[in-house]
Amino acid sequence: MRILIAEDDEALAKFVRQGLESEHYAVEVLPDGEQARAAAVEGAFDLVVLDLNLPKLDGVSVLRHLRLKKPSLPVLVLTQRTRVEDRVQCLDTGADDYLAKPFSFSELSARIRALVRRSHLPAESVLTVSDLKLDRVEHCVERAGRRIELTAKEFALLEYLMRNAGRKVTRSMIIEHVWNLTFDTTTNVVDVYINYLRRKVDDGHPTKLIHTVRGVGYELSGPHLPVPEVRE
Amino acid sequence: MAQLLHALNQPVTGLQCSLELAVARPRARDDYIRVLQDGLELTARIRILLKAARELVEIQRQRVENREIVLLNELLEMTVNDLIPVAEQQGVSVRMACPAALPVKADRVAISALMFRFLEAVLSLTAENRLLQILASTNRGFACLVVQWQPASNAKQNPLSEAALALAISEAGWKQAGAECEHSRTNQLETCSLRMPLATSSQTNDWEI
Repeated sequence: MRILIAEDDEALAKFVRQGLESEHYAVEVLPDGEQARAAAVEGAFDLVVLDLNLPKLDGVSVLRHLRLKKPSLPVLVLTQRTRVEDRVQCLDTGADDYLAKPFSFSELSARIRALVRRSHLPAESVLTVSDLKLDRVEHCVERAGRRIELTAKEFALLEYLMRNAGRKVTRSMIIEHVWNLTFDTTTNVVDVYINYLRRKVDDGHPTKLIHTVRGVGYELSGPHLPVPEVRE
Repeated sequence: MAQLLHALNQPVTGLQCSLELAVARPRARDDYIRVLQDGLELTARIRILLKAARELVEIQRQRVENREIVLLNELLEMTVNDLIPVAEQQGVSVRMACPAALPVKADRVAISALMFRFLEAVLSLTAENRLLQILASTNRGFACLVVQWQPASNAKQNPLSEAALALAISEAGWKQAGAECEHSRTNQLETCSLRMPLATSSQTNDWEI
């Protein structure tokens, strides 16, 4: 798995590189937008980590170019800005995910894993993990053939967990993708909703699907089918 | 902002001193691990303060664009419903009165996030098993929102806690969105009052068409 890091902050790029290499990714670091644009288009990368404030050519221009030339290449944007509007603009421009500085390495790593995995999945209408099934079109969920009633937020949360089945997702990732918020929450809102979901999804079943990952967040996975089965 | 920058001194100094001491002479493995763990905690604190400072600066710079008619009462109800499970877990009772439609002109995405952040911060600051009251109304062309809560004792002591910072940031956000915001505190209660101009009837008609 090859990752291109376009980052002009040498110290930051070094830490990220070391961390990702320790997770067995092949990493290339480029310090300016022009080099990054050329390498991302010509090279065989599986993911680009792109700083928005790059010398020679800014990150947004690199992103626009990449979307024309390589529309399916996952791009994770790093930025100094935290406002919702900035995130929306970033995603509208074609970023697949967004992480505001300063960030923790575990957060970056979790997002990269989720992105890499998502990029290998087609858009599915029915998600299945073990005996749990979520139908996005019919808006219904069942486990072992029994229907589960969920609120809109619980449904969105379960869908996000199932889309990332077999992968750890952080609380920040959940709050961003399910609640569409970009700040650190001050309550345990994610944990509370996870507990509600657990009661509805796991209670009464010998195999638990929603797991707490200490120090990271949560993971939904079944015993035999960690990767969602796709049915159109 | 000055308070935030001042508050940064403490964790930065702590981090520098603990690292200096750690490299001053060889130590046992456990000592290094403890220093690293302390360093991580201090870094987390620095990160929170930096984020808060940057958010405040960004809010002050922000220009409100993409304004549309937003029903503040609907947004309020939706946000409260989202937070009810959290309040229940904290044992906080939420009492809300929202009798009128409150159309205001705002950036929908920004004000939705702002409402969540504001109410979530208030909920975090409310003492367990106490009441959080939210009263929404109209008054002379303004949408008014009065939020009153009994603060937890630790919240009163730490104005730079994560929740207190979130509240300060959201209050700055309301001001930037065009609201007047007043915060008062007595021994037992904290109150935050917001007043935001109601959308005029012509603006509302445009939206209805």
